Amino acid sequence: MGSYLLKREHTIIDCNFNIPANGITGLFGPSGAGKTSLLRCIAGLERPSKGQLFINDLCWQDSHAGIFIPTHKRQLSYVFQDPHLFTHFSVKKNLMYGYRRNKNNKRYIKIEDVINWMCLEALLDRNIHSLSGGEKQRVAIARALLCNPMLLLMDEPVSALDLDSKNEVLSCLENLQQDVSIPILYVTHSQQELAQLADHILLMDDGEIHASAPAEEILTQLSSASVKNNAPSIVMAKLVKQDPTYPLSYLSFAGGDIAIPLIKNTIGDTVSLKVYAKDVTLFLAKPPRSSVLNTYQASIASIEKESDRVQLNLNGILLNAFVTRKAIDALNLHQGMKIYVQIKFTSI
Amino acid sequence: MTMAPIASVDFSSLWLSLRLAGVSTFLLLMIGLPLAQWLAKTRSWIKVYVEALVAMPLVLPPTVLGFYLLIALGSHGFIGETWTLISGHSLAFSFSGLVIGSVIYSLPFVIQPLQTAFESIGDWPMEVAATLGASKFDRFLSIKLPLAKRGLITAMVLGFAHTLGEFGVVLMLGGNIPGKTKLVSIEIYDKVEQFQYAQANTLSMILLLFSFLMLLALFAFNHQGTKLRI
Repeated sequence: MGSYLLKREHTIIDCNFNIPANGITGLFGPSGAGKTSLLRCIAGLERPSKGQLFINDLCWQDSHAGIFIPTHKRQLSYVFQDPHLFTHFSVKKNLMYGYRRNKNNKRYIKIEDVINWMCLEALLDRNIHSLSGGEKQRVAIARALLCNPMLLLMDEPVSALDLDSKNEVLSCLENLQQDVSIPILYVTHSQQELAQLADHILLMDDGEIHASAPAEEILTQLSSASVKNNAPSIVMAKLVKQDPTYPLSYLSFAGGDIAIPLIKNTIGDTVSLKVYAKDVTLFLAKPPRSSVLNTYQASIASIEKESDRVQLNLNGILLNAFVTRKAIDALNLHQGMKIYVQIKFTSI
Repeated sequence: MTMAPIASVDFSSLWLSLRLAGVSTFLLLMIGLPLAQWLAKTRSWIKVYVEALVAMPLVLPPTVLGFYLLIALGSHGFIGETWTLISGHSLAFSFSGLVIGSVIYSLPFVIQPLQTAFESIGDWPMEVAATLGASKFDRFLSIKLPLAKRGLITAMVLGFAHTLGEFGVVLMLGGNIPGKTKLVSIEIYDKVEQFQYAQANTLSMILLLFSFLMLLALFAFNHQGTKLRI
């Protein structure tokens, strides 16, 4: 859908990318990777020396043909890291600013709906200065949605918020995902947020897009790459059964079923599970029935003796386990070997 | 000191001064808003030259400025000659000439508060407004001007008050034609020369009170603004 070449004093972007027509696409990478610059190019806030951008069949920029549509004529909205509300307006006037100026857009979002999704009913008549960080950001997201954009750009919208506000805004965004089908490009450097929100992920580093794939695939890659910091593998699972007597929740994922301490979600919810390497145990043969819970067959994807680490492929999901060098030799572990895996404890 | 009764004082010079200040303030805003906006945004090397030029009236003796304006606007000056060709009237010793002189003389008092206000706003409100679909002109009117309200009002009051109080430039440029170019500041000077202290006192006192009230209103407004912002 787009390609850019941007050269500035501190940033160089040289990339090609495609964004799925709906759902949340996470744009992930370390700080300084050029994520924000790419977003600003898409919005038309920066004008790169070479660039092409097509949204559906619409051309927003084509440097060969000399086309550059200015920001205010692009049917998009942008949520910045800082809420950036207009301080000389009330909450209501902030919300209506974009709505009034996009009369020609096909209005698929109603004012009442946005107020409900973002829980703004009680805030409408408040002064901007009296809002908390989370409240401000919810107003900013609502203001962006009310433009009825064809593309919503979000640049780390929760990274400047405290934990409570962060969760409050993230849960609003999760609800939003179910109700609105516009494509959202979401910049973040948090794997947690990716796991919670993204359907598709673009990996960016040094101004280039290194990978573009469904979220699950990239999240597993990411967690295996960062296992040195004891970072967990992220496994997406669906809640299928609640058992309050024990109390356990049963979820299904690509590798089978998994039981975890009871969680409060409702049945059918998708939950991201964090599986730490220290919680993964290997067995050469199928373990006895007494401990059959959360046991799966897997194959060894790779062995890294120097970091005491074995990477396992569990039906397409990559997990890490710590195994000492001595044990690796004693058990004669090798790549491709079939093995049994038990996940002892999982946190969400 | 005695004061002449209001009824016995000729106020035509005061009205002329108020009219000049009004017209000049309007023109100052028309020129000052885009110029201050440009100065706040540009990274061009010309910027410092323009800034220095605009600030010149702050340091120059008004007579120097008045002298060169008289030359330029006079019937042999480039501007004056062109003006006479087009309009048939001379620019020096006319109300239009006074307006041109006042605008140049008061420009730094309008540019500086506006430029500071625009600079302190930063880029983000305009970028946000653009992503919400507002055109350049729309953004300027709906976002930038309201956010620069304090600078705007300061610029207007200072521009108006400074024009009202000028003496040297208008004396050089306008001469002393009653009802046409005789402003209140010059009238006061004349009265003193003629030892009509009572008349001078009345006009001076009116000007003094008026200026004080105008500045009082400005500072009260700005102070209230500070309180509201906390």
